[in-house]
Amino acid sequence: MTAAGGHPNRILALEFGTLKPAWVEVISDVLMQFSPRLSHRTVQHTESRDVHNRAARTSTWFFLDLGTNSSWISRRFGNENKLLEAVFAKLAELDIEQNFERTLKAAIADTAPAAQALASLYSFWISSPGRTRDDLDRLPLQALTQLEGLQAWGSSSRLESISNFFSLLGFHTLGDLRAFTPAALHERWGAIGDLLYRRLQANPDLEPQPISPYVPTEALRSFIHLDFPVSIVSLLLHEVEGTLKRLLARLEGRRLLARRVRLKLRCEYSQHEHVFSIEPSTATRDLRFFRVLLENRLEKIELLNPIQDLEIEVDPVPEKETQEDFFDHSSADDTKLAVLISLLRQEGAQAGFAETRDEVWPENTWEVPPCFLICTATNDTKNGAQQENRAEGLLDESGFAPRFSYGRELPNAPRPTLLLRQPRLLSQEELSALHFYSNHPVERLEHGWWEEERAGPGGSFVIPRRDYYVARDRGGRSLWIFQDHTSGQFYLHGAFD
Amino acid sequence: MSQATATQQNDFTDKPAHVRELIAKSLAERGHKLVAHDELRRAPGLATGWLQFDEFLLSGGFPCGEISLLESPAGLGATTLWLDTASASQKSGNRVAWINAIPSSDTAFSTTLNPATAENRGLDLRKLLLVDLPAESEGFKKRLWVLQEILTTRLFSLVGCDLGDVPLPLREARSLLAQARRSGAAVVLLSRPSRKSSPHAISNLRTIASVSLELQHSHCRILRAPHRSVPQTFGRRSRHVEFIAGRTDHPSIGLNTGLNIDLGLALAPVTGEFPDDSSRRSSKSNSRT
Repeated sequence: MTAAGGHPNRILALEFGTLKPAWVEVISDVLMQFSPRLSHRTVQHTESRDVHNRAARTSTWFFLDLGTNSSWISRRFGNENKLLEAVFAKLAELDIEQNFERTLKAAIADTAPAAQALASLYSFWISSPGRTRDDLDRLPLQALTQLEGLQAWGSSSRLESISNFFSLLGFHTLGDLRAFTPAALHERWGAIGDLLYRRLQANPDLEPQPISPYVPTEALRSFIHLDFPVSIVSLLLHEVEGTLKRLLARLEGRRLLARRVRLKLRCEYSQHEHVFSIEPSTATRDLRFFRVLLENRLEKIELLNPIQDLEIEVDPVPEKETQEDFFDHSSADDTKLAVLISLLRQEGAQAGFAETRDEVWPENTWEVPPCFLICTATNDTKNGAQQENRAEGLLDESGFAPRFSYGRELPNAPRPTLLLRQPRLLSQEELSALHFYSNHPVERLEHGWWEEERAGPGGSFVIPRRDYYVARDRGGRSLWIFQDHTSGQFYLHGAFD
Repeated sequence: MSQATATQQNDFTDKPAHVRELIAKSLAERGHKLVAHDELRRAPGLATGWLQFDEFLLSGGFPCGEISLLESPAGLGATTLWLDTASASQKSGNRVAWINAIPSSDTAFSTTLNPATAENRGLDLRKLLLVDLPAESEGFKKRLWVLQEILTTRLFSLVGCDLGDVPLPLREARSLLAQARRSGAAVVLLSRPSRKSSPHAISNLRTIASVSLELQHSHCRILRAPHRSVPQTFGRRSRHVEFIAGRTDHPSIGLNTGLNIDLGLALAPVTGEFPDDSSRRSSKSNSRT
């Protein structure tokens, strides 16, 4: 199997020691950021030749088809050496060393079997494109059992007998086996002889081993049982942080962002559960960000008993595809603001940066959007577009259609600094206590006049209309009053404070 | 403050010469001395745009790292004063924050800041953090916490908080003052006295505030200001409102042209001379009238 350019696909093979099933999912998710096509396989080894006393040892192999992402890899990392370093660095962030019996081994080659054999012998190897066969030729005969890739040899004992056979004949390297023709290998070992010949050629066209896209199915959830229950926040935070880091690394591989993190803390004696969630103002994968929010929340929890079990679950959202910019607009201040707004929202307060809208009713002329980072980034563009619309309108084949902005067209209108959350109906007594500056309204607002045209001349539709007045009460306060045209009643709507 | 400063609140300029001499002698025995206002180290402040007020305060506006208290029912210009200060501060590249009054079922006048008006007064909404606290008791519990969190970030030069008719307890105010001093931000608290407000709580709050200003319909009084003679009373002068005077082309507005409407702040000292004795005399006569 070769790529369109004629160069063979590149396969990365990674060998880990004995892995728990949960770790396989974590590593698969993390490796997805390097290639969506990845597969893993667990191999069982036997250490002793004594049939009755064989100590079984397993290792897990991961295979990544780098050819799928080759242009991205070359742009992002430059070369395969740096790519491997990045893979090692990413896995090191998971505290991988303390969780595995053996050190990590990796190799990149043209075929999966060759990559596995090279990794198992050299630990860190990158074969030049198209030269994998030369590298294979230098490997000792014992490497024959590792020449598997995604498909294992049918019987390991049979491979051992083949290897012993060649050894008895005086062959020492895989390159020595080139003396045999495919027909000779087929005649002696049948189908496995054919397979042996094809794998020795290190040609993906002879033995294709396609790697399907990996589809993660495991929930983004982690469960921690503490052998020594803790009730000190800093220790608890330390336990949570490691797990959260792995969950966020999994999110990165899946190209997701964390919208909400749910935590369940179970106490040791009382079995009481503290359940809470952290929801930042903007979806993110920033561990530092979550750490601050988490620390703040944990400090507020009264831990009567030590915590024995923790459960952390992440609610993800897909990340937006954004074009990489030469300039990084984010700053430490933005992070501080995001943390602050998230903290305030956690506590039930509405916080953010308001945006004005083109609406008729004054109470609707602004809103606080849920995500402030996006707003600050797009606000200039939006304002610019509106300015442009005002100046030019919409020009199409039907002609020029000016676009009006209602709320913004009255910058000098007497709008109060304070608005009531809801307009309040004034009683007759309250109304009589007010002194209106003028019998004429200072502003008239009509909403939905276009509906009247739709309803037709005989329709029962009445245009909602408000006539605004400025009035003064007995305390000398200047108030913003409107009369509802439909009901004729007066409402208090704001104060010129 | 150095040993050269005589007192926090009074420069004794209103005292007769022989009394000042006695005071100076008494202070000298304790290692202090009287100095003129010009020699005092001016604390940084945020200009409000109300020239008489800014000139009266040594800080040239709301002092940074301190609490300022504006006592005024909604509708007498306190928010406008804060907005003008915020607008000037934003022009220097600073961020400002505003905390709305906590909605209460008892209060018929539960308001929020109108961002559209703020924008029209020159504020950049992208640099104005708006906070709405949850209703009732939850909001009161969290008010101090929210203020402290905002100050802790040190991202804001000016923080305004509409206290409504429930002022901060003394203990909370002290805690807030400590946080304000650490952050260096000017904290402006707007208190809306009502019948149910406790006068004791408000007077407690005044003792914490560095600057305390009471706004009334006919006048306003500076109740507290560092190194100044207080209380100082200023008369409020009505003016033609800009939107009426300037928009005569509008059919409905045109009819109203010429009306005197007291919106926002149109303030001027009665004599224009302060803080010497003549100003003090005039303020006393104002308060009598």
